[in-house]
Amino acid sequence: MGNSIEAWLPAAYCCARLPSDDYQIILAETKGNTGGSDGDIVAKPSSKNLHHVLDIAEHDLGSKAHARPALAASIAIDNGLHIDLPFGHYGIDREGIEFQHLWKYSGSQKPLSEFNLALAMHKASVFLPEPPKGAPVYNYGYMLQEEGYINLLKSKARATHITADNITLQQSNGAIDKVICDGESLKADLYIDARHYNYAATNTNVTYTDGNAWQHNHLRITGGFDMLDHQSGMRLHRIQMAMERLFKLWPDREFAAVEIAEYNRLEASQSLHINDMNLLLQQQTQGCSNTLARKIKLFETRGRIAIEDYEIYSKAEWIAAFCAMGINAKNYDRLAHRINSDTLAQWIEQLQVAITNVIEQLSDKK
Amino acid sequence: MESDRVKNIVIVGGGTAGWMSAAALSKLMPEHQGNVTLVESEEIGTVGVGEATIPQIATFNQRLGIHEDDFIRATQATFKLGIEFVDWAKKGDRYFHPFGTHGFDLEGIEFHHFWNKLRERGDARSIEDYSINAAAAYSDKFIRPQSEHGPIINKLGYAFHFDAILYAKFLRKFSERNGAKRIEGKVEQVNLRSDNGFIESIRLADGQVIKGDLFIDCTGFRGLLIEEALQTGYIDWSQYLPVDSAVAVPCEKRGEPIPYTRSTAREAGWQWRIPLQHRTGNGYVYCSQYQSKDEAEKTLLSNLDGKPLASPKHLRFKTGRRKKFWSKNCVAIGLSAGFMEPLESTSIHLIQSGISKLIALFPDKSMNPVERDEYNRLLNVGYAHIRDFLILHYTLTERDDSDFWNYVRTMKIPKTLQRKMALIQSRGRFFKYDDELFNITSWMAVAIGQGYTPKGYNPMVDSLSDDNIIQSLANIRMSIDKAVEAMPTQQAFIDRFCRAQDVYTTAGES
Ligand SMILES: Cc1cc2nc3c(=O)[nH]c(=O)nc-3n(C[C@H](O)[C@H](O)[C@H](O)COP(=O)(O)OP(=O)(O)OC[C@H]3O[C@@H](n4cnc5c(N)ncnc54)[C@H](O)[C@@H]3O)c2cc1C
Repeated sequence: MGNSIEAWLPAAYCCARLPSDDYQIILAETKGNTGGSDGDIVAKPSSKNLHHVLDIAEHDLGSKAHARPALAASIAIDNGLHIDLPFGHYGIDREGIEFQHLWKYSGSQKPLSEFNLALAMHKASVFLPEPPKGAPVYNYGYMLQEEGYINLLKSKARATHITADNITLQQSNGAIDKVICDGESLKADLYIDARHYNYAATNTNVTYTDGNAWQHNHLRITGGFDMLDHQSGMRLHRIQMAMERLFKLWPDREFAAVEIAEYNRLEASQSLHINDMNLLLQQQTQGCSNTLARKIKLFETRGRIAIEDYEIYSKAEWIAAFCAMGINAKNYDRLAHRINSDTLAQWIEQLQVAITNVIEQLSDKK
Repeated sequence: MESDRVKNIVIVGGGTAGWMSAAALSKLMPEHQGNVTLVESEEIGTVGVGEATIPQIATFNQRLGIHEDDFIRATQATFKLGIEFVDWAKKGDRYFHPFGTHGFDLEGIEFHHFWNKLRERGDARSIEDYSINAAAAYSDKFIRPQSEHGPIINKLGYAFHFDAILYAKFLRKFSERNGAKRIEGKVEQVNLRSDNGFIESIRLADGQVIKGDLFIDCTGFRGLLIEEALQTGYIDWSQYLPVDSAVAVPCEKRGEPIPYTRSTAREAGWQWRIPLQHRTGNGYVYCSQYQSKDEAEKTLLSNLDGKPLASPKHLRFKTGRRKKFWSKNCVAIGLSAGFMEPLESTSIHLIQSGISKLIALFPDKSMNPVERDEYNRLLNVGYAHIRDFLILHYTLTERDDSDFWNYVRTMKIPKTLQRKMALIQSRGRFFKYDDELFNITSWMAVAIGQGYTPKGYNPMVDSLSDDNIIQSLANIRMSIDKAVEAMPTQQAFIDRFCRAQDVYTTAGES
């Protein structure tokens, strides 16, 4: 039930993974707004796995969803400012030491962001599908035109399709008995309710943890809770993760409580991490979760990134967010001293020059 | 802030933990930047056991740049493809916990679901029939997987059995070559700073005082620094894992070494058998509440397959972990950090994990509590996951032939394990949490091996026709048979690449 990506993506996903002679998928399409994303949505690099399952080739994304490669997600924060969360590493780690420590130890005057090739390319609006040899690595995602993307998903969803102005659910003992679409009854084994993409939620203090996304025979799919999720690529990512979880825990009609609890536990854990990032970007870190507080402290102390269970964001995305929010590392990993400081300074400078050269060459070709 | 830098690292203890730490830290810390000093006492000696490992040890060797064959030759090592558990579910029963994987995932669905579907349809084949490791192990075969070997052999996972004393010697040489300094001596006193309680220095019996910025406690069970000096406290897990004693003895080897560890359940615990190139290591881990020291020794000696090469060595321990692994400027690594019985050969791995996390969170002299807390958090989680996996072996037994087995069969188990077991039971669902050590193959091998077979399978499996599944599984079995047939025996492989010198002395004296 629904009409946005939250509905069509699960429909396409189910069609791709379930044999058509055994399963019938019905999409009850509601009317109205499909997500309000001003036309574009961000697909993180991990969406490549999703499109592989859906058998959507890159050229289809290009021609039908007007896909443009993206090397970072640009997020608008207050006062017209933007934060770019890169899809690639900062610099190159050496001898097991992460680049941000080497950079700090070297005393380089260039900002850390200049050592992120993905960010540099994103800012210069240039693109190479793969990083040149010896350059900081990245993986690209996409900017997709939402309407085109929905149409592409529709073409992949061999679902029986009905349209309804009004959908009501009839429940007993917590389970859905049937769905009434404009007066007509519809019965199914599993219901996926994607009518509330929830993007319009205006309350920034909502807790994003949704511990009950799956109850009995109905599953709620909410891709994004606010503009941040939308711009960071989490909207699509949440739906992708929900589908992967669902298929790992694919139920039968018994709907085992222990499996549903596990789905909800994993969903809650994922939401917690997304929420941590959102709170950081909204500068609402007072009284935040233990996980975010720990992350901030560890980063401030020596530029280290704590990676939690089922982490969603990469180290580079966290570094970008910390730096943008003015949270800086006071120190660096002392093992950086293993590398001779002159050699290091020289190498760092060369790296920065190499990145600049890549950008200039690509800009010239534009 | 150059003055803040940790320059003097003092490792107390020269067992496996001490020398693994010295090897890693001396490699990491060039001589001109700091000193790694290791103090050990020959008079006290080491625990002298700890000879079976898990595959992650290869990463440790690689990071240090140690060539695998050199290490095998130096330590009389053999290859380990998994563990055979005998008499665990019930007497007369056996199963194999392989490294590597069972079969292949099909259409993005984990292999065991397909196996379970056929089993429910009456196919009596064991899940072990889909493990290249189990098949190679039971044929005494081994080959080191390389990319040109193709997908089946590439699924082969392996670790090692080695002589613990020789391993420490090998790492000692390595560390000394990298600048680590060894001091022979017995620590008699640990001096704390009056302002912050940090360890300032240790005093040896000969009066020598050794100062340090960071102290690594590798003194074994007693935890000379972390517990006796810093009184960190211990969390006791013996209600879940009640064995508290061991008796160990090496014996002459019989025939060619087999490429796996054997763990045989006995009246009040279990016996290990670890085959090396020059001898076989044996031990009986038991619960002193249910069996006396003499009875345990008798049990062990009457179940050896060769002549004993030394007198049996008795050990006592308490299962659990330190409340803090890192306290003040002291990090406990090895037995001083905690101990869980060697049922799945996890202790050396925990040493490795402690070292790599210490390196990842390497401090300066101030020992920032944020980093210390993170280290402790990560290790707490790692220990708890392993604890749960060990308990699984006991809680799933059907044995009711002794008080010991009656206790472990009916004891209360942690909630975290209850949840995992409920998910396994419910159609074989498994999720790996917090980067936990044991994966789906391990959990399924033990659960299914002990009769806790999932009820049902992921219904997605039905999207493949039965014929298709039957054919795919037959192909996997056939490929495994073919691959194993073409492999050399472990002995032939060792002879060709990594045979150690023959020794005619008692173990450990070579
Ligand atoms: C029965 C049994 C079986 C095991 N089997 C396995 C296995 O198969 N696989 C596995 O991974 N692990 C196993 N383990 C664990 C493994 O043995 C240990 O993790 C490993 O040997 C590390 O021990 P250690 O170095 O911490 O302590 P030890 O070997 O006890 O070393 C302690 C060191 O501290 C020194 N020391 C102590 N006090 C002083 C002092 N006052 N002054 C100076 N030096 C001092 C000693 O001389 C010694 O050098 C087993 C353990 C037991 C008990």
